Amino acid sequence: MQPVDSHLFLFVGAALFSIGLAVVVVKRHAIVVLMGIELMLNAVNINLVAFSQYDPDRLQGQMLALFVMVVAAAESAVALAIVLQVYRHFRTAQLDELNELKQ
Amino acid sequence: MPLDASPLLSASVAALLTLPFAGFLVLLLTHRRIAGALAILLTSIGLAVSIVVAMNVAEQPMLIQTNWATLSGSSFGISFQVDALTALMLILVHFVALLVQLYSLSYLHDEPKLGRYFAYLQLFVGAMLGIVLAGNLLVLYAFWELVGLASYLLIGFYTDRPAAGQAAKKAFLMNRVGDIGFLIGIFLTYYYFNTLELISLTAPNSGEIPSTALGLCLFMGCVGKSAQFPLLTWLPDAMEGPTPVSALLHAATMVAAGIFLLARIHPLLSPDALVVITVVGTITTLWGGYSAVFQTDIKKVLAFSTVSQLGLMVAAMGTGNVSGAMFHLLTHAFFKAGLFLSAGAVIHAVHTQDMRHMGGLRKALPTTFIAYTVCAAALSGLPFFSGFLSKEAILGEAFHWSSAQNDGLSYLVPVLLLLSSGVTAFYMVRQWRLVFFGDYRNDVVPLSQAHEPDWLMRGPVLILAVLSVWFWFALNPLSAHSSWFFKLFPATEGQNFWWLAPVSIGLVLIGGWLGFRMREPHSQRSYVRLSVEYGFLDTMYHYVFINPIRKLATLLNHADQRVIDRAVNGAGISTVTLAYLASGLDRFVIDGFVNGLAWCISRLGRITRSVQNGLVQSYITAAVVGLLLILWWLL
Repeated sequence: MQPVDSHLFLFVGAALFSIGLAVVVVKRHAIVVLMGIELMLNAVNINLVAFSQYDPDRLQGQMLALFVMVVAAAESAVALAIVLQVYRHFRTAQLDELNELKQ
Repeated sequence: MPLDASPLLSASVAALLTLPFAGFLVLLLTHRRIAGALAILLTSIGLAVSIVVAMNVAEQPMLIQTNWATLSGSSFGISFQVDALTALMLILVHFVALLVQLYSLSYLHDEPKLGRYFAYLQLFVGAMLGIVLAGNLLVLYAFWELVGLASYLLIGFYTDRPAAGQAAKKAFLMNRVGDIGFLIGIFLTYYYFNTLELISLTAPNSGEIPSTALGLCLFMGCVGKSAQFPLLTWLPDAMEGPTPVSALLHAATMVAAGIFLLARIHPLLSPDALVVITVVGTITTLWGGYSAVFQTDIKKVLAFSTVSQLGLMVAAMGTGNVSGAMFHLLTHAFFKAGLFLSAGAVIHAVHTQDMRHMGGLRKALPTTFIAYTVCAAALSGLPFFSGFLSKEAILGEAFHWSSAQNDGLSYLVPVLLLLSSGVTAFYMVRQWRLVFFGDYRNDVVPLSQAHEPDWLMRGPVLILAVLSVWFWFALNPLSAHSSWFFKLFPATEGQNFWWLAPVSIGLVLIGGWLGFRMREPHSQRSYVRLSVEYGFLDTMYHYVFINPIRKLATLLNHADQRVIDRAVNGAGISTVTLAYLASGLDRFVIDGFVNGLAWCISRLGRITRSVQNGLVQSYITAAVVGLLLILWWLL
């Protein structure tokens, strides 16, 4: 199997990260924002995996990507719980209407 | 050597001074009904004490001294001196004051302010007693000023008459002019002699001849108080006071003070000063005499006759004849008080002071007529009356003085004095004729209603008239040389001028005859106006002193309005303008600065607050932008 050029992974990762960032910044609903975060995390994972080919012995990049997935799953669980509580408390999940951080 | 006073004498002097001043304070508060009686009682006690003092008086002056103040080595004492002159004046003052107060009881019967009147009289008498008893010039000056105050109060007693207030002010101010001179004289005395005690000042061998300036300054006091030329114009105006006050003022208290002062300080007067005093006295005699000639006010004639007689006394002082002057003061006190009180009786009867509205009163007022005639004869200097004796004493000494001067011009003084006694007879007889002879010329009060006053007024007048006869002063009616007075107060022995008495009597008779026969000239004739307006002296003062001062005052007023007021207003306006400017500055610059600062900070706050808007996404945006900026800067 012909190895793919590593810089293509980087393009995909950067595009994915940018899309994720745009979603985080632009979207109003908290759950969509969470989804943007997942995209950014996975963009990082692509980078980690892509660079992992330069380390054939220890595969630190792939290990770290796995680690990131686990942590992302945990983070999503916690974040979804928070969003649920926020929705319960404020009867909304629209981020524009939540400015409690001001205080 | 002076003696220390005995306890009796000290007590008497204390009583004499305490009674009138205490009386003054008490009478101010006393009801008018008993005020008169109380005042008369006080003066009677004073008279009795004076007689006791007179009986105990010794050959040498007796002193009561105490130290008043010591200032850096110079000590000023309070001292009182009692000698024969003091005793004589004490009795005279008390006696005249007693008669005047008795008279006032009836004369001012309807006066509502009677208590105050008698209080002022007591103050007047007390002040005069202080002058008489004073043993140094400082004490004398204090009482001297009190006399001025009391005269002011009494001349202006009728407070509802503006003229009385004017006259009182005039008397006070003219006296002030003299008093300033007197005060300077006292300073000079202290400067030269280092003491103000009369007893050491007048000691016979006190050393150097005092300067003329000193004598003249002291004489200034006498010029003011005794109404000498040129300060004589207050005396006729002082007639605005009640008539008994005029009697007291002219006989015993006020004007006598000046003569008494001259008698006290006579050794301090240098020969040159004495010449000036003689000349001033002579001028005053003639000036007063001429001014009396055509007056129409009964009291003003008497006032100017007083001026004239005071001039005579001063001239006698100038010729060195102290005892003669004091003798004339004594005789003059009785007949002048008598004349004034008689004039008061006449005014009381016809309710006018204008002699043109009197006449023919000898039948209506027989007692007053007799008393008046006797007193006027004494004043004119007819033999067998007291005035003749004292005038001869003065004139004889004056001729003696001028023969000792080795100067032909000096004979002018006695000749003029002699002439003035003729003038005296002239105006007194004119007055006598106008009041008591001819037709009755008053339309307001019919002759049948003009009647004698009660005995309370007639009594004092008669007593004074009786005391104007020669008998009380000397047994010889034509010469005073054997008089008890000159035994008490020895005069320098001059030669007798055998021709003096006949000449003087002749002049008096001629003057009297002219006065009786004269026809009243028109009142607009220049020589009449010269007399009535006393030589235009007041007019002259008006032009020389009053008008320039008025003009100066107007000028100063204008200057005040134009310059000072404008300056003040300008300062005010500029201050207000400045205040507006400052307020504007305050409002626009300082407030603007503060407000602007506040505005800026609030904008800044708003901007910074807008960053912290609590929206998670904007935070994230900021973080990303910041991260990008850092990256851009780092790479």
